[in-house]
Amino acid sequence: MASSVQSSEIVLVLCHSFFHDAFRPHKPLDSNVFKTWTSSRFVANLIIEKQARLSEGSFFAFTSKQVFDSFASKFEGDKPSAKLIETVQILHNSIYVVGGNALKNLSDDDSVFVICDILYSRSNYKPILVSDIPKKVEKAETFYHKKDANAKIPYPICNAIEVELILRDKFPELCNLVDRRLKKSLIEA
Amino acid sequence: MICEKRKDYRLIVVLEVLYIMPRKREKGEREMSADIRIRAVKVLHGRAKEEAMKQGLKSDDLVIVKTTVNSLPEYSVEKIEGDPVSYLLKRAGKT
Repeated sequence: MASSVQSSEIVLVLCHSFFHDAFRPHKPLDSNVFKTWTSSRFVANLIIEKQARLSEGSFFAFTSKQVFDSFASKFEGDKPSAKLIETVQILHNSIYVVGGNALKNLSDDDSVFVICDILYSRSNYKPILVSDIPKKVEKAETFYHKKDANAKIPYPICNAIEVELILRDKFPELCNLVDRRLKKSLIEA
Repeated sequence: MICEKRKDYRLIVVLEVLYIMPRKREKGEREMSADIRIRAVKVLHGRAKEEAMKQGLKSDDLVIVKTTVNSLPEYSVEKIEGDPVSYLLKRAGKT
């Protein structure tokens, strides 16, 4: 019996705040913001590291088109250089950016709730919504309670610090590799 | 391996049935003149792998692979030094 049950595979669904924290170019001075920044940076590196090893068509991290485009337009600025545009394309190819008609009229928040719900309900995946905004849980509850007052959020909503701990437990070898690369960057800086 | 392929297929089917993951780009979406992505050297094959080997890269190294199609695809391989996020930010002139 036990052998027929497949364990769910963790996938990450990324919110707007995560991108801004992970790709903030300079070290923040505030100690709380600094911790979020280092964890977000770690998680982003792990996503890239993991995706670099997956076969084409497989993905470890997801976000919605509106969330990604909103981050990309701010990141690129008014007159982006060719290298900056390439960077956004590389990031776009390191995650699954979900677009399409069913999502296009939803808010940034609602679009990622929908992606999580579908991944949770219709496949053998265990999505984790990654957001550094504390009110995201309340927003998710409001989203679910619109249709059913008793509905519960079926997936965890975690900040980058919590996700880092989960990933360190789940992928120790890959996390060691990320740590080594981060250390190398720090030495070379 | 077969299980993993089945699982990927199922995920794509699940989301495509709901019309939220169209495979074709919509008008106005980001168009790319070349495909550019990060890959681990260990998963490369063929001429992309040969290009990485020419540079003396190791299997655990990460590279930016840029693919341009001029009838026969051409692959340029750029080694990522340090962690990928810091490297990308530096490469883009953000730091």
